[in-house]
Amino acid sequence: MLRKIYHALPLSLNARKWLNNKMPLKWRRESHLRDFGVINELYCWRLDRDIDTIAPIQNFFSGIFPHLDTATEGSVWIYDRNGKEIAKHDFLLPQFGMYVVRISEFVSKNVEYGTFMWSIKMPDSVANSKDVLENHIYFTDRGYVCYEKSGAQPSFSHGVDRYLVFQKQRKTPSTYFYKNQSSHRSWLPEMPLNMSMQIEMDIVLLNRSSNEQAFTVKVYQNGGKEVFQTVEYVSAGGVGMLTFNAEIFAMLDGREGYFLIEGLATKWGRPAIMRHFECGSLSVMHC
Amino acid sequence: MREQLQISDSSIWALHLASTPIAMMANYGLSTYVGLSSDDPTNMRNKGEKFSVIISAYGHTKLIGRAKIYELNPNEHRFFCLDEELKKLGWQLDTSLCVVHRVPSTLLEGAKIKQKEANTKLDYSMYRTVVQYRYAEKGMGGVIYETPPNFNIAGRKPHFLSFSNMLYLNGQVENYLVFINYSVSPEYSQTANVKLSFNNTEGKKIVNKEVFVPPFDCYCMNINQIGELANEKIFVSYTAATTTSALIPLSILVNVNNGGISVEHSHPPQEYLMADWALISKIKLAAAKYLFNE
Repeated sequence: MLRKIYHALPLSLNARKWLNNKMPLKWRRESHLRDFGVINELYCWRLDRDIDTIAPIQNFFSGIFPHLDTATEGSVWIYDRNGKEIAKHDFLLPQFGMYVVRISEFVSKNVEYGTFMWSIKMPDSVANSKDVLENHIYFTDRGYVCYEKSGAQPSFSHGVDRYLVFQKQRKTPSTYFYKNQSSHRSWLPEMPLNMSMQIEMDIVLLNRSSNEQAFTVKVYQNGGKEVFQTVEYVSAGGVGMLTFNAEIFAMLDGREGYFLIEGLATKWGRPAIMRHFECGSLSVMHC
Repeated sequence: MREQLQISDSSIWALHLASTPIAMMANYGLSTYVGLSSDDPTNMRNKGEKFSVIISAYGHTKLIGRAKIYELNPNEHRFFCLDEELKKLGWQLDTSLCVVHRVPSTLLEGAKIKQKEANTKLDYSMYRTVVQYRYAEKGMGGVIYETPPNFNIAGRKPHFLSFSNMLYLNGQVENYLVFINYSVSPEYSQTANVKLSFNNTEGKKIVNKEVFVPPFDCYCMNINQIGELANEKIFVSYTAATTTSALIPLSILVNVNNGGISVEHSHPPQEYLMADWALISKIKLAAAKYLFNE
Protein backbone atom coordinates (compact mmCIF):
# COMPACT_ATOMS: atom_id res chain seq x y z
CA MET A 1 0.00 0.00 0.00
CA LEU A 2 2.77 2.42 1.02
CA ARG A 3 4.60 1.61 -2.22
CA LYS A 4 1.45 2.44 -4.22
CA ILE A 5 1.01 5.75 -2.41
CA TYR A 6 4.68 6.59 -2.94
CA HIS A 7 4.43 5.94 -6.67
CA ALA A 8 1.19 7.93 -6.94
CA LEU A 9 2.66 11.05 -5.28
CA PRO A 10 3.29 13.88 -7.78
CA LEU A 11 6.99 14.32 -6.93
CA SER A 12 9.85 15.61 -9.02
CA LEU A 13 12.68 13.19 -9.79
CA ASN A 14 15.00 14.98 -7.38
CA ALA A 15 12.41 14.94 -4.60
CA ARG A 16 11.77 11.25 -5.21
CA LYS A 17 15.50 10.54 -5.06
CA TRP A 18 15.82 12.49 -1.78
CA LEU A 19 12.85 10.69 -0.27
CA ASN A 20 14.16 7.35 -1.45
CA ASN A 21 17.47 7.91 0.33
CA LYS A 22 15.67 8.79 3.56
CA MET A 23 13.60 5.59 3.59
CA PRO A 24 14.89 2.53 5.42
CA LEU A 25 16.45 0.04 3.00
CA LYS A 26 13.81 -2.52 3.89
CA TRP A 27 11.00 -0.24 2.66
CA ARG A 28 12.75 0.48 -0.61
CA ARG A 29 12.60 -3.16 -1.54
CA GLU A 30 9.78 -5.24 -2.95
CA SER A 31 7.91 -7.29 -0.34
CA HIS A 32 9.71 -10.57 -1.17
CA LEU A 33 13.15 -8.98 -0.75
CA ARG A 34 12.90 -7.51 2.74
CA ASP A 35 14.66 -10.18 4.78
CA PHE A 36 18.01 -11.55 3.71
CA GLY A 37 18.85 -14.53 1.57
CA VAL A 38 20.34 -15.90 -1.61
CA ILE A 39 19.11 -15.34 -5.16
CA ASN A 40 20.25 -17.81 -7.77
CA GLU A 41 20.37 -18.04 -11.55
CA LEU A 42 19.05 -20.49 -14.18
CA TYR A 43 21.55 -21.97 -16.65
CA CYS A 44 21.41 -24.00 -19.84
CA TRP A 45 23.00 -27.43 -20.13
CA ARG A 46 23.54 -29.43 -23.27
CA LEU A 47 24.86 -32.90 -24.10
CA ASP A 48 24.41 -32.90 -27.88
CA ARG A 49 27.09 -32.15 -30.51
CA ASP A 50 29.77 -33.87 -28.41
CA ILE A 51 29.37 -31.28 -25.65
CA ASP A 52 29.21 -31.90 -21.91
CA THR A 53 28.23 -29.25 -19.39
CA ILE A 54 30.14 -28.76 -16.17
CA ALA A 55 29.41 -26.44 -13.27
CA PRO A 56 32.44 -26.00 -11.01
CA ILE A 57 30.29 -24.53 -8.25
CA GLN A 58 32.45 -22.13 -6.28
CA ASN A 59 31.91 -21.12 -2.66
CA PHE A 60 31.56 -17.42 -3.41
CA PHE A 61 30.94 -16.65 0.27
CA SER A 62 34.63 -17.38 0.95
CA GLY A 63 35.79 -14.69 -1.47
CA ILE A 64 33.51 -12.08 0.06
CA PHE A 65 34.03 -13.06 3.72
CA PRO A 66 37.50 -14.65 3.84
CA HIS A 67 37.74 -14.07 7.61
CA LEU A 68 34.70 -16.26 8.34
CA ASP A 69 34.24 -20.03 8.34
CA THR A 70 32.14 -20.32 5.18
CA ALA A 71 32.01 -24.09 4.78
CA THR A 72 28.44 -24.89 3.78
CA GLU A 73 26.22 -27.13 1.67
CA GLY A 74 24.26 -26.82 -1.53
CA SER A 75 21.95 -28.47 -4.02
CA VAL A 76 21.74 -28.71 -7.76
CA TRP A 77 18.49 -29.23 -9.66
CA ILE A 78 18.48 -30.42 -13.26
CA TYR A 79 15.48 -29.89 -15.57
CA ASP A 80 14.54 -30.89 -19.08
CA ARG A 81 14.03 -28.25 -21.76
CA ASN A 82 10.46 -27.69 -20.51
CA GLY A 83 11.56 -26.98 -16.96
CA LYS A 84 10.49 -30.39 -15.58
CA GLU A 85 12.84 -31.67 -12.86
CA ILE A 86 14.78 -34.78 -13.87
CA ALA A 87 17.46 -34.92 -11.14
CA LYS A 88 18.44 -33.35 -7.85
CA HIS A 89 21.69 -33.71 -5.97
CA ASP A 90 22.94 -32.37 -2.62
CA PHE A 91 26.57 -31.63 -1.85
CA LEU A 92 28.95 -30.24 0.74
CA LEU A 93 31.04 -27.20 -0.11
CA PRO A 94 34.29 -26.52 1.77
CA GLN A 95 35.52 -23.03 2.58
CA PHE A 96 37.22 -21.69 -0.58
CA GLY A 97 36.23 -24.96 -2.25
CA MET A 98 34.31 -26.02 -5.33
CA TYR A 99 31.90 -28.83 -6.10
CA VAL A 100 32.17 -29.99 -9.69
CA VAL A 101 28.87 -31.08 -11.25
CA ARG A 102 29.14 -32.84 -14.59
CA ILE A 103 25.65 -32.97 -16.14
CA SER A 104 26.33 -36.18 -18.12
CA GLU A 105 26.60 -38.03 -14.79
CA PHE A 106 22.96 -37.19 -14.04
CA VAL A 107 21.24 -37.11 -17.42
CA SER A 108 20.93 -39.70 -20.15
CA LYS A 109 22.95 -38.87 -23.27
CA ASN A 110 19.82 -39.04 -25.45
CA VAL A 111 18.41 -35.94 -23.80
CA GLU A 112 19.96 -33.08 -25.75
CA TYR A 113 19.56 -29.99 -23.62
CA GLY A 114 17.71 -28.46 -20.69
CA THR A 115 18.16 -26.14 -17.75
CA PHE A 116 19.72 -26.42 -14.31
CA MET A 117 20.33 -24.34 -11.24
CA TRP A 118 22.12 -24.59 -7.96
CA SER A 119 21.85 -22.94 -4.60
CA ILE A 120 24.53 -22.55 -1.97
CA LYS A 121 23.12 -22.29 1.54
CA MET A 122 24.20 -19.13 3.33
CA PRO A 123 26.79 -20.24 5.92
CA ASP A 124 25.85 -19.71 9.60
CA SER A 125 28.75 -17.32 10.12
CA VAL A 126 27.47 -15.09 7.30
CA ALA A 127 23.79 -15.34 8.29
CA ASN A 128 24.65 -14.27 11.83
CA SER A 129 26.85 -11.34 10.84
CA LYS A 130 25.75 -7.82 11.72
CA ASP A 131 26.02 -6.57 8.14
CA VAL A 132 23.65 -9.25 6.87
CA LEU A 133 21.12 -8.90 9.66
CA GLU A 134 21.02 -5.10 9.63
CA ASN A 135 21.36 -4.41 5.95
CA HIS A 136 19.17 -7.19 4.59
CA ILE A 137 21.75 -8.37 2.12
CA TYR A 138 20.65 -10.69 -0.64
CA PHE A 139 23.54 -12.59 -2.17
CA THR A 140 23.16 -13.04 -5.91
CA ASP A 141 24.99 -16.08 -7.20
CA ARG A 142 25.90 -15.63 -10.84
CA GLY A 143 28.28 -18.49 -11.45
CA TYR A 144 30.33 -19.72 -14.35
CA VAL A 145 29.41 -22.74 -16.47
CA CYS A 146 31.90 -24.68 -18.58
CA TYR A 147 30.69 -26.17 -21.87
CA GLU A 148 33.23 -28.86 -22.69
CA LYS A 149 33.63 -29.85 -26.34
CA SER A 150 35.00 -33.32 -27.20
CA GLY A 151 36.13 -33.88 -23.61
CA ALA A 152 38.99 -31.40 -23.87
CA GLN A 153 37.99 -27.92 -25.03
CA PRO A 154 36.35 -25.65 -22.44
CA SER A 155 34.19 -22.64 -23.13
CA PHE A 156 33.00 -20.70 -20.09
CA SER A 157 30.06 -18.36 -19.75
CA HIS A 158 28.54 -16.68 -16.74
CA GLY A 159 24.94 -16.18 -15.71
CA VAL A 160 23.25 -12.92 -16.68
CA ASP A 161 20.02 -12.67 -14.70
CA ARG A 162 18.24 -13.75 -11.51
CA TYR A 163 15.80 -16.59 -11.02
CA LEU A 164 14.60 -17.77 -7.58
CA VAL A 165 14.84 -16.36 -4.05
CA PHE A 166 16.00 -18.56 -1.15
CA GLN A 167 15.01 -16.66 1.98
CA LYS A 168 17.44 -16.63 4.89
CA GLN A 169 19.19 -20.02 5.04
CA ARG A 170 16.43 -22.08 3.50
CA LYS A 171 17.31 -24.90 1.16
CA THR A 172 14.23 -24.53 -1.01
CA PRO A 173 13.16 -21.44 -2.96
CA SER A 174 10.16 -19.41 -1.87
CA THR A 175 9.49 -17.08 -4.80
CA TYR A 176 10.65 -16.02 -8.20
CA PHE A 177 12.97 -13.01 -8.17
CA TYR A 178 10.77 -11.30 -10.77
CA LYS A 179 7.22 -11.10 -9.51
CA ASN A 180 5.81 -9.90 -12.82
CA GLN A 181 6.44 -11.35 -16.23
CA SER A 182 6.76 -9.03 -19.18
CA SER A 183 6.52 -9.57 -22.89
CA HIS A 184 7.45 -6.09 -24.02
CA ARG A 185 11.20 -6.08 -23.55
CA SER A 186 13.55 -6.76 -26.38
CA TRP A 187 17.28 -7.23 -26.81
CA LEU A 188 19.33 -6.32 -29.84
CA PRO A 189 22.69 -8.03 -29.34
CA GLU A 190 25.79 -6.17 -30.51
CA MET A 191 27.12 -9.40 -32.01
CA PRO A 192 27.42 -9.04 -35.80
CA LEU A 193 26.19 -11.99 -37.85
CA ASN A 194 28.99 -12.88 -40.22
CA MET A 195 28.64 -16.14 -42.11
CA SER A 196 32.37 -16.51 -42.79
CA MET A 197 33.24 -16.79 -39.11
CA GLN A 198 31.46 -19.99 -38.05
CA ILE A 199 29.44 -22.88 -39.47
CA GLU A 200 26.43 -22.48 -37.21
CA MET A 201 25.31 -20.36 -34.30
CA ASP A 202 22.80 -21.48 -31.66
CA ILE A 203 20.69 -18.84 -29.93
CA VAL A 204 19.88 -19.94 -26.37
CA LEU A 205 16.71 -18.53 -24.80
CA LEU A 206 16.06 -19.13 -21.10
CA ASN A 207 12.72 -18.41 -19.47
CA ARG A 208 13.18 -17.34 -15.83
CA SER A 209 9.52 -16.46 -15.34
CA SER A 210 6.61 -18.54 -14.03
CA ASN A 211 4.72 -18.80 -17.35
CA GLU A 212 5.40 -19.92 -20.89
CA GLN A 213 7.01 -17.15 -22.93
CA ALA A 214 6.97 -16.50 -26.67
CA PHE A 215 10.30 -15.18 -27.91
CA THR A 216 10.26 -13.65 -31.39
CA VAL A 217 13.61 -13.89 -33.14
CA LYS A 218 14.25 -11.62 -36.14
CA VAL A 219 17.29 -11.51 -38.41
CA TYR A 220 18.27 -8.36 -40.32
CA GLN A 221 20.75 -7.43 -42.98
CA ASN A 222 22.85 -4.39 -42.10
CA GLY A 223 20.75 -1.37 -42.91
CA GLY A 224 17.67 -2.80 -41.29
CA LYS A 225 16.06 -5.12 -43.87
CA GLU A 226 14.36 -8.02 -42.04
CA VAL A 227 15.10 -11.35 -43.73
CA PHE A 228 13.91 -13.96 -41.23
CA GLN A 229 11.48 -14.25 -38.34
CA THR A 230 10.36 -17.07 -36.08
CA VAL A 231 8.70 -17.52 -32.71
CA GLU A 232 10.16 -19.81 -30.04
CA TYR A 233 7.81 -20.86 -27.23
CA VAL A 234 9.69 -21.62 -24.01
CA SER A 235 8.11 -23.17 -20.91
CA ALA A 236 8.59 -21.66 -17.46
CA GLY A 237 12.04 -22.63 -16.23
CA GLY A 238 12.83 -24.08 -19.64
CA VAL A 239 15.06 -23.28 -22.56
CA GLY A 240 14.65 -22.83 -26.29
CA MET A 241 17.43 -23.24 -28.81
CA LEU A 242 17.33 -21.86 -32.33
CA THR A 243 20.10 -22.59 -34.82
CA PHE A 244 21.27 -20.04 -37.37
CA ASN A 245 22.51 -22.42 -40.06
CA ALA A 246 23.94 -21.86 -43.53
CA GLU A 247 20.45 -21.29 -44.92
CA ILE A 248 19.76 -18.43 -42.53
CA PHE A 249 23.24 -16.93 -42.95
CA ALA A 250 22.69 -17.02 -46.74
CA MET A 251 19.75 -14.64 -46.26
CA LEU A 252 22.28 -11.98 -45.29
CA ASP A 253 23.26 -12.01 -48.97
CA GLY A 254 27.00 -11.95 -48.29
CA ARG A 255 26.72 -9.00 -45.95
CA GLU A 256 26.96 -8.78 -42.19
CA GLY A 257 23.79 -8.51 -40.21
CA TYR A 258 22.30 -8.80 -36.76
CA PHE A 259 19.40 -10.27 -34.82
CA LEU A 260 16.76 -9.07 -32.41
CA ILE A 261 14.93 -10.95 -29.66
CA GLU A 262 11.49 -9.65 -28.70
CA GLY A 263 9.62 -10.85 -25.64
CA LEU A 264 12.27 -11.16 -22.93
CA ALA A 265 10.40 -12.52 -19.93
CA THR A 266 12.75 -10.97 -17.38
CA LYS A 267 14.75 -7.76 -17.25
CA TRP A 268 18.19 -9.09 -18.07
CA GLY A 269 17.16 -12.40 -19.63
CA ARG A 270 19.13 -11.80 -22.78
CA PRO A 271 20.23 -14.71 -24.95
CA ALA A 272 23.48 -16.64 -25.02
CA ILE A 273 25.08 -17.75 -28.25
CA MET A 274 26.98 -20.96 -28.96
CA ARG A 275 29.07 -20.97 -32.13
CA HIS A 276 30.33 -24.07 -33.94
CA PHE A 277 33.50 -23.80 -36.03
CA GLU A 278 34.84 -25.81 -38.94
CA CYS A 279 37.88 -26.89 -36.90
CA GLY A 280 35.50 -28.64 -34.48
CA SER A 281 35.70 -26.09 -31.69
CA LEU A 282 32.93 -24.40 -29.73
CA SER A 283 32.58 -20.87 -28.44
CA VAL A 284 29.97 -19.73 -25.93
CA MET A 285 29.15 -16.20 -24.85
CA HIS A 286 26.26 -14.32 -23.35
CA CYS A 287 24.85 -11.29 -25.15
CA MET B 1 38.90 6.69 -43.80
CA ARG B 2 41.78 6.18 -41.30
CA GLU B 3 42.28 9.65 -39.91
CA GLN B 4 44.66 10.28 -37.04
CA LEU B 5 43.15 12.48 -34.35
CA GLN B 6 44.57 14.89 -31.82
CA ILE B 7 42.05 14.93 -29.00
CA SER B 8 42.59 17.28 -26.09
CA ASP B 9 42.09 16.11 -22.51
CA SER B 10 38.97 18.25 -22.21
CA SER B 11 37.36 16.23 -25.00
CA ILE B 12 38.07 12.84 -23.46
CA TRP B 13 34.53 12.75 -22.03
CA ALA B 14 33.06 11.89 -25.43
CA LEU B 15 35.45 8.98 -25.92
CA HIS B 16 34.03 7.25 -22.86
CA LEU B 17 30.36 7.40 -23.73
CA ALA B 18 30.84 3.96 -25.32
CA SER B 19 34.29 2.40 -25.09
CA THR B 20 36.08 -0.85 -24.33
CA PRO B 21 39.76 -1.41 -23.43
CA ILE B 22 41.14 -4.51 -25.14
CA ALA B 23 44.26 -6.58 -24.49
CA MET B 24 46.18 -7.21 -27.71
CA MET B 25 47.24 -10.84 -27.64
CA ALA B 26 49.48 -11.15 -30.72
CA ASN B 27 52.43 -12.18 -28.55
CA TYR B 28 50.40 -15.22 -27.48
CA GLY B 29 49.48 -16.28 -31.01
CA LEU B 30 46.01 -14.73 -30.96
CA SER B 31 44.57 -12.21 -33.36
CA THR B 32 42.09 -9.72 -31.97
CA TYR B 33 38.74 -8.73 -33.44
CA VAL B 34 36.03 -6.38 -32.24
CA GLY B 35 32.34 -6.53 -33.06
CA LEU B 36 30.62 -3.13 -32.98
CA SER B 37 27.05 -2.01 -33.39
CA SER B 38 25.35 1.34 -33.86
CA ASP B 39 22.21 0.04 -32.14
CA ASP B 40 21.17 0.33 -28.51
CA PRO B 41 21.10 -3.26 -27.16
CA THR B 42 17.94 -2.47 -25.19
CA ASN B 43 16.40 -1.33 -28.50
CA MET B 44 14.93 1.80 -26.92
CA ARG B 45 17.39 4.69 -27.09
CA ASN B 46 19.33 6.71 -29.66
CA LYS B 47 17.53 5.40 -32.75
CA GLY B 48 19.08 6.16 -36.11
CA GLU B 49 22.39 7.30 -34.63
CA LYS B 50 25.68 7.20 -36.56
CA PHE B 51 28.95 6.60 -34.73
CA SER B 52 32.56 7.36 -35.48
CA VAL B 53 34.73 4.41 -34.52
CA ILE B 54 37.93 5.68 -32.94
CA ILE B 55 40.80 3.62 -31.57
CA SER B 56 43.34 4.70 -28.95
CA ALA B 57 46.53 2.64 -29.03
CA TYR B 58 48.72 2.33 -25.92
CA GLY B 59 52.20 0.85 -25.62
CA HIS B 60 54.63 0.91 -22.71
CA THR B 61 51.93 2.74 -20.69
CA LYS B 62 51.84 5.68 -23.12
CA LEU B 63 49.31 6.75 -25.73
CA ILE B 64 50.77 5.99 -29.15
CA GLY B 65 47.98 7.65 -31.05
CA ARG B 66 44.29 7.92 -31.85
CA ALA B 67 42.63 7.41 -35.17
CA LYS B 68 39.17 7.29 -36.62
CA ILE B 69 38.84 4.01 -38.50
CA TYR B 70 35.21 3.85 -39.61
CA GLU B 71 31.84 5.52 -39.68
CA LEU B 72 29.20 3.13 -38.39
CA ASN B 73 25.80 3.74 -40.02
CA PRO B 74 22.45 3.24 -38.27
CA ASN B 75 21.49 -0.44 -38.00
CA GLU B 76 25.01 -1.61 -38.75
CA HIS B 77 26.87 -4.39 -36.88
CA ARG B 78 30.38 -5.08 -38.04
CA PHE B 79 33.55 -6.95 -37.11
CA PHE B 80 37.00 -5.32 -37.35
CA CYS B 81 40.36 -7.03 -37.08
CA LEU B 82 42.25 -4.78 -34.67
CA ASP B 83 45.65 -6.20 -35.66
CA GLU B 84 45.00 -5.15 -39.26
CA GLU B 85 43.74 -1.71 -38.26
CA LEU B 86 46.83 -1.11 -36.12
CA LYS B 87 49.08 -2.38 -38.90
CA LYS B 88 47.60 0.14 -41.35
CA LEU B 89 48.50 2.86 -38.85
CA GLY B 90 51.98 1.45 -38.21
CA TRP B 91 51.22 0.94 -34.51
CA GLN B 92 50.84 -2.85 -34.31
CA LEU B 93 54.30 -3.71 -32.97
CA ASP B 94 54.13 -1.42 -29.94
CA THR B 95 50.47 -1.67 -28.99
CA SER B 96 49.61 -3.82 -25.97
CA LEU B 97 46.31 -2.14 -25.08
CA CYS B 98 43.83 -0.78 -27.58
CA VAL B 99 40.69 1.10 -26.60
CA VAL B 100 37.82 1.11 -29.06
CA HIS B 101 35.49 4.09 -28.79
CA ARG B 102 32.20 4.82 -30.45
CA VAL B 103 31.48 8.55 -30.56
CA PRO B 104 28.10 9.75 -31.83
CA SER B 105 28.91 11.47 -35.10
CA THR B 106 26.90 14.52 -34.06
CA LEU B 107 29.58 15.19 -31.43
CA LEU B 108 32.38 15.43 -33.98
CA GLU B 109 33.27 18.47 -36.03
CA GLY B 110 35.82 17.29 -38.54
CA ALA B 111 38.62 15.75 -36.54
CA LYS B 112 37.61 17.51 -33.32
CA ILE B 113 35.16 16.65 -30.59
CA LYS B 114 32.68 19.36 -29.65
CA GLN B 115 32.73 20.73 -26.13
CA LYS B 116 30.26 19.18 -23.74
CA GLU B 117 27.11 21.23 -23.48
CA ALA B 118 25.74 21.82 -20.00
CA ASN B 119 22.54 19.97 -19.13
CA THR B 120 22.88 17.63 -22.10
CA LYS B 121 21.93 14.12 -21.09
CA LEU B 122 23.55 11.43 -23.16
CA ASP B 123 22.83 7.83 -22.28
CA TYR B 124 24.99 5.15 -23.89
CA SER B 125 25.20 2.80 -20.91
CA MET B 126 25.39 -0.89 -21.84
CA TYR B 127 26.90 -0.04 -25.23
CA ARG B 128 29.42 -2.87 -25.14
CA THR B 129 31.93 -4.30 -27.58
CA VAL B 130 32.27 -7.91 -28.67
CA VAL B 131 35.93 -8.74 -28.07
CA GLN B 132 36.97 -11.81 -29.99
CA TYR B 133 40.24 -13.71 -30.23
CA ARG B 134 41.26 -16.18 -32.93
CA TYR B 135 43.93 -18.86 -32.75
CA ALA B 136 45.92 -19.96 -35.81
CA GLU B 137 43.08 -19.30 -38.28
CA LYS B 138 41.00 -21.91 -36.47
CA GLY B 139 38.45 -21.29 -33.73
CA MET B 140 37.31 -18.02 -32.20
CA GLY B 141 36.09 -17.07 -28.77
CA GLY B 142 34.36 -13.92 -27.68
CA VAL B 143 33.19 -11.92 -24.71
CA ILE B 144 31.24 -8.70 -24.38
CA TYR B 145 32.05 -5.81 -22.02
CA GLU B 146 32.60 -2.08 -21.78
CA THR B 147 34.67 0.41 -19.78
CA PRO B 148 32.89 0.56 -16.41
CA PRO B 149 31.56 4.06 -15.58
CA ASN B 150 34.22 6.36 -14.04
CA PHE B 151 36.77 3.57 -14.28
CA ASN B 152 39.86 4.54 -12.23
CA ILE B 153 38.78 8.18 -12.46
CA ALA B 154 41.13 10.70 -10.85
CA GLY B 155 40.30 11.65 -7.27
CA ARG B 156 38.86 8.33 -6.16
CA LYS B 157 40.41 5.37 -4.35
CA PRO B 158 39.46 2.32 -6.36
CA HIS B 159 40.16 -1.26 -5.35
CA PHE B 160 39.69 -4.63 -6.97
CA LEU B 161 38.63 -8.07 -5.82
CA SER B 162 37.69 -10.94 -8.06
CA PHE B 163 37.33 -14.69 -7.67
CA SER B 164 36.56 -17.23 -10.33
CA ASN B 165 36.96 -20.82 -11.42
CA MET B 166 37.51 -20.28 -15.13
CA LEU B 167 40.69 -22.30 -15.49
CA TYR B 168 40.94 -25.71 -17.14
CA LEU B 169 44.14 -27.65 -16.56
CA ASN B 170 44.19 -30.69 -18.86
CA GLY B 171 47.50 -30.33 -20.71
CA GLN B 172 45.87 -29.34 -24.01
CA VAL B 173 44.71 -25.91 -22.94
CA GLU B 174 46.79 -22.76 -22.49
CA ASN B 175 45.29 -20.79 -19.58
CA TYR B 176 45.80 -17.04 -19.42
CA LEU B 177 44.57 -14.59 -16.79
CA VAL B 178 44.63 -11.09 -18.20
CA PHE B 179 44.30 -7.95 -16.07
CA ILE B 180 43.57 -4.64 -17.79
CA ASN B 181 44.59 -1.47 -15.94
CA TYR B 182 42.86 1.36 -17.78
CA SER B 183 41.46 4.73 -16.71
CA VAL B 184 39.08 7.35 -18.04
CA SER B 185 41.50 9.99 -16.68
CA PRO B 186 44.53 10.68 -18.92
CA GLU B 187 46.66 11.62 -15.88
CA TYR B 188 46.15 8.21 -14.23
CA SER B 189 49.50 6.69 -13.32
CA GLN B 190 48.86 3.91 -10.80
CA THR B 191 50.61 0.58 -11.24
CA ALA B 192 48.42 -2.13 -9.74
CA ASN B 193 50.10 -4.58 -7.40
CA VAL B 194 47.85 -7.63 -7.79
CA LYS B 195 48.04 -10.49 -5.34
CA LEU B 196 46.57 -13.84 -6.28
CA SER B 197 45.78 -16.98 -4.39
CA PHE B 198 44.98 -20.33 -6.07
CA ASN B 199 42.84 -22.96 -4.33
CA ASN B 200 41.94 -26.53 -5.24
CA THR B 201 38.43 -28.00 -5.16
CA GLU B 202 38.86 -28.97 -1.49
CA GLY B 203 39.53 -25.33 -0.69
CA LYS B 204 43.21 -25.86 0.09
CA LYS B 205 45.48 -22.99 -0.88
CA ILE B 206 47.99 -24.20 -3.48
CA VAL B 207 50.09 -21.12 -4.15
CA ASN B 208 50.17 -17.33 -3.87
CA LYS B 209 51.42 -15.10 -6.68
CA GLU B 210 51.98 -11.41 -7.19
CA VAL B 211 52.02 -9.43 -10.44
CA PHE B 212 52.31 -5.76 -11.36
CA VAL B 213 50.04 -4.21 -13.97
CA PRO B 214 51.27 -0.84 -15.30
CA PRO B 215 48.74 1.92 -16.01
CA PHE B 216 47.23 1.96 -19.50
CA ASP B 217 48.51 -1.52 -20.03
CA CYS B 218 47.59 -5.11 -19.33
CA TYR B 219 49.31 -8.12 -17.81
CA CYS B 220 48.92 -11.62 -19.18
CA MET B 221 49.68 -14.38 -16.71
CA ASN B 222 50.29 -17.85 -18.18
CA ILE B 223 48.81 -20.18 -15.58
CA ASN B 224 50.33 -23.27 -17.21
CA GLN B 225 53.74 -21.99 -16.15
CA ILE B 226 52.88 -22.12 -12.44
CA GLY B 227 54.61 -25.33 -11.41
CA GLU B 228 52.63 -25.78 -8.19
CA LEU B 229 49.43 -26.23 -10.26
CA ALA B 230 50.89 -28.96 -12.48
CA ASN B 231 49.49 -31.86 -10.49
CA GLU B 232 46.09 -30.39 -9.71
CA LYS B 233 42.75 -31.62 -11.06
CA ILE B 234 41.21 -29.87 -14.07
CA PHE B 235 39.44 -27.17 -12.06
CA VAL B 236 41.15 -24.78 -9.66
CA SER B 237 39.91 -21.42 -8.48
CA TYR B 238 41.67 -18.15 -7.88
CA THR B 239 41.13 -14.98 -5.91
CA ALA B 240 42.83 -11.76 -7.00
CA ALA B 241 42.93 -8.40 -5.28
CA THR B 242 44.60 -5.03 -5.27
CA THR B 243 43.85 -2.06 -3.06
CA THR B 244 45.08 0.63 -5.47
CA SER B 245 43.22 0.22 -8.75
CA ALA B 246 40.18 -1.17 -10.45
CA LEU B 247 40.97 -3.80 -13.06
CA ILE B 248 39.16 -5.75 -15.75
CA PRO B 249 39.97 -9.47 -15.33
CA LEU B 250 39.67 -11.84 -18.28
CA SER B 251 40.14 -15.56 -18.47
CA ILE B 252 41.38 -16.62 -21.93
CA LEU B 253 41.70 -20.36 -22.57
CA VAL B 254 43.12 -21.75 -25.80
CA ASN B 255 42.90 -25.39 -26.82
CA VAL B 256 45.97 -25.71 -29.01
CA ASN B 257 44.68 -28.91 -30.67
CA ASN B 258 41.31 -27.85 -32.05
CA GLY B 259 41.87 -24.09 -31.87
CA GLY B 260 38.94 -23.55 -29.52
CA ILE B 261 38.98 -20.39 -27.43
CA SER B 262 37.10 -19.46 -24.28
CA VAL B 263 37.01 -15.81 -23.23
CA GLU B 264 35.02 -14.58 -20.26
CA HIS B 265 35.37 -11.85 -17.68
CA SER B 266 34.88 -12.54 -13.99
CA HIS B 267 32.52 -10.53 -11.84
CA PRO B 268 33.36 -7.92 -9.25
CA PRO B 269 31.92 -8.74 -5.79
CA GLN B 270 29.14 -6.18 -6.24
CA GLU B 271 27.52 -8.63 -8.65
CA TYR B 272 27.10 -10.97 -5.69
CA LEU B 273 25.70 -8.43 -3.24
CA MET B 274 22.33 -6.72 -3.34
CA ALA B 275 22.95 -4.06 -0.70
CA ASP B 276 23.80 -0.37 -0.33
CA TRP B 277 26.89 0.64 -2.30
CA ALA B 278 28.72 1.94 0.79
CA LEU B 279 28.36 -1.45 2.45
CA ILE B 280 29.43 -3.31 -0.67
CA SER B 281 32.53 -1.15 -0.92
CA LYS B 282 33.35 -1.73 2.76
CA ILE B 283 32.97 -5.51 2.46
CA LYS B 284 35.04 -5.62 -0.72
CA LEU B 285 37.93 -3.59 0.66
CA ALA B 286 37.95 -5.54 3.95
CA ALA B 287 38.11 -8.82 2.02
CA ALA B 288 40.92 -7.61 -0.24
CA LYS B 289 42.97 -6.45 2.76
CA TYR B 290 42.33 -9.60 4.79
CA LEU B 291 43.16 -11.98 1.96
CA PHE B 292 46.60 -10.53 1.51
CA ASN B 293 47.45 -9.38 5.05
CA GLU B 294 47.34 -5.67 4.32
